[in-house]
Amino acid sequence: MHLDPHRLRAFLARPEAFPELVQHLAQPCSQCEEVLAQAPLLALDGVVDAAALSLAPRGAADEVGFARVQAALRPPRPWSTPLVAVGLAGALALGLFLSRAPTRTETSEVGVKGTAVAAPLGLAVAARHPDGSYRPVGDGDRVAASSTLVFQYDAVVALDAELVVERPGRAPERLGAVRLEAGRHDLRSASGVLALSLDGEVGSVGVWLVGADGSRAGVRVNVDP
Amino acid sequence: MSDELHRTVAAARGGEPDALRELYRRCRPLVVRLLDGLGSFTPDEVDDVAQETFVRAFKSLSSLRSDAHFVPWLLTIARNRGLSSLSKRAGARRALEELRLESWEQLDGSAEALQLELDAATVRELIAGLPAGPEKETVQLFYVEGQLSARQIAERLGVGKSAVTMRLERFRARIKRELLVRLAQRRRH
Ligand SMILES: [Zn+2]
Repeated sequence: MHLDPHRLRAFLARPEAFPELVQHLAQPCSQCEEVLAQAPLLALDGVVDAAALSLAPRGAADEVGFARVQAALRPPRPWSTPLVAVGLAGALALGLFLSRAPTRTETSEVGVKGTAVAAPLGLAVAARHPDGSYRPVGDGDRVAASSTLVFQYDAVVALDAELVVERPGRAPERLGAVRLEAGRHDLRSASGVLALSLDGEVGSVGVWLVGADGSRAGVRVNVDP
Repeated sequence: MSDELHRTVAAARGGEPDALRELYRRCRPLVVRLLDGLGSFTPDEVDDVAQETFVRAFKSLSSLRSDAHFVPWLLTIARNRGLSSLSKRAGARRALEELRLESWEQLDGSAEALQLELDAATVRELIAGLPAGPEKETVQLFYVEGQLSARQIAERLGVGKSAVTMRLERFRARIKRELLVRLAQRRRH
């Protein structure tokens, strides 16, 4: 009698009920060991890893990346905090827009989905630094957490859209709804240009403008603490 | 697991921020080592999977019944996240079965019993009992000496890294088999 995944679970629950199997397992058996290697993860795996990895002299303690973990554990901030209407000159007024409009149009990693048939939407992003200077931001760029992002969109038709933030390992966070007009404009609400503060963010942050028709455009930046 | 780590888990569960940092500091090297033995990850992927592992663990800390289970529980999460990242990269259509952390400690009858049966000394004995050969050499270098990475071990032994991963998995399966037998014998007494 060899192990199979079903029998393995039954055995773990009541090993005393399988005397023959115990006898069999007392000797090496490649078939049973294959099942043990392939079975879905169980507490058994963690116990084996913990014991085996405890043999070697302990590696030096290491907190590389703890800031990212901490950031991911923080509760998501409400829309009013990170995305604010500000009395800034928009990216358009500053001439910061990118000539080629869509920055990123493939499906995002964490699940912001769009359709291929929708009219193309473009999003250009600029970072405003604490000293008041601006810099255009492209996909994959590093940005300081002290900066604020401002946006400019490019839409073929007027439509409703949402601004969404994505962080690895977390559900996309909807920051809020905006009404887009056809053409190239700063992203703004009635009270002013919308700006996203990066304060408290660490690591990869994706910002997506998702149109009600399924179109989308966005950028992913790496935030340095 | 040392009593000190034990207390740190309890404190982390109580929401002490420094305790989370301390758990991370002490356990990240184990997670990184586990991932190194599991497959070929780039340094960035190791960082990402390690981060995901700790976020998942720290968010679910309240579901852990015993502080003593923390390390094996964390390493199960790490293995799950690592395998899932590898299968995603391989373009697997079906996602890996999602790990149900809530039932982790009940899954195998009792995690306590398993932990009681398996300590470092038992694993050492099992390694000593392996017939001389490539598997023993690999296991010795990876688990006992713990200085070389899986890739370095592969280079030294003149094999591909996947051969090292396979040998480590085969050895883990042997330990599991031995553990099942011991679990049954304990129940009988
Ligand atoms: Zn068998």
